[in-house]
Amino acid sequence: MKYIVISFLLLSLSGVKNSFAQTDIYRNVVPDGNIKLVHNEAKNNKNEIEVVFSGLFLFYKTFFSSQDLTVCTFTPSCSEFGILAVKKFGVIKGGVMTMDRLTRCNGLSPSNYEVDKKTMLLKDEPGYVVRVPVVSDIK
Amino acid sequence: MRLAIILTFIFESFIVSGQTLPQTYEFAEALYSQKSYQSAVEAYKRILFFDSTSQYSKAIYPKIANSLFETGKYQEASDYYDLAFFSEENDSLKTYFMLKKASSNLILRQYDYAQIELLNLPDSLSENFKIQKNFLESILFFAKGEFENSKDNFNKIIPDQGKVETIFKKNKKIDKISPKKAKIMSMIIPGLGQLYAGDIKNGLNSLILTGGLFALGINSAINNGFLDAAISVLPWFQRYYQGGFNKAEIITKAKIDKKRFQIFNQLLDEVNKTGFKPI
Repeated sequence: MKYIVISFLLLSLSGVKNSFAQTDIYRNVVPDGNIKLVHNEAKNNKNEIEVVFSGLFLFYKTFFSSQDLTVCTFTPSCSEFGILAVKKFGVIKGGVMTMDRLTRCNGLSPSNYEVDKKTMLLKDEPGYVVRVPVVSDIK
Repeated sequence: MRLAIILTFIFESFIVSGQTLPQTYEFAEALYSQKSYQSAVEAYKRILFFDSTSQYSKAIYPKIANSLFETGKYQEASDYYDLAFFSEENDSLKTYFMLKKASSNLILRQYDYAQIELLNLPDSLSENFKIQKNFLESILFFAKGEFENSKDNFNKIIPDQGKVETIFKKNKKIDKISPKKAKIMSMIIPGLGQLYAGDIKNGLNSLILTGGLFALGINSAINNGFLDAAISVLPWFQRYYQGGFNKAEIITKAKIDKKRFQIFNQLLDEVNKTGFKPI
């Protein structure tokens, strides 16, 4: 037993030495090829309804959205908007807001929204009220 | 009472004095030597702000740059190495700053900026700087896909050249994976490109989804007519079919990146074994 513990400690010491290797800061100079998306919207569920809707959201994202082109004109996308709206306003109001959002997802009125510079998509979060009139520069 | 407070404040203003520049410099140096880099940067920047004659600039720029480099703020570190370079006359130190700037740019994946710094290095370098240059060039060329140049530089650092040769042979095999081929395969049979890239889950997902929509379209065409099928199913089929072959290309590119990343890390492990320490 004693020898096992000693050898384990020695092994972990060698591991520690490797983990602080001098060239470690250069390891990410080359992209690691990780394209897996993390959906934070489906985390931190507070009740069973949120768990169910988060499950539906993840099912859609994994099996349908993953095979799709980038077709949504908004950020967050319609499915993300849906789960965020349900979490923020409940099933009824959140559901109505999601349906409203789906009817607006056509790119016909970009001048009503701000443009997210990172994704170049129109910004529209649930419950976000635009207080200043927005006229998009993107034509 | 109010008068007493006011008098106390006035009296204090005569006896209390702020930290002078030399004191702040001493304080910043102490923080730097204790490796409290974040606090050191703030103290050094305070000196730069109040140093109207720029007497401390030359000594401070490299310290700020090193502190920022240590705290992972590589973009800002690169800017301060630039300032350090232009305020320094010593050739050896100038070379050091250029190498550090190239390092910062490499970590930020600004390969072209890093290459400019490395090309600007003087031809005659000391033995230590030469090895450092070789190391940075080996990384740079690997990242840019110039593998022969990268191999030459790794060979100068790693004594076991057989090992380098073996790793680069493995790297050569990755060239056979083609994102275009995957895309075309997925155009012929949806999901085939993903399977070719080794992504079985996405391959089957694409095949079932597109196949299902295709079957639905055929069924709709037989029962309701071609026009109805075209209106109701074709847009969905087009979305997932086109999305599928575009994703096949993306997945294959990611697969290549993943394999290259593994190879690159193997090379860095070999460099670590030599006991090499980057500056």
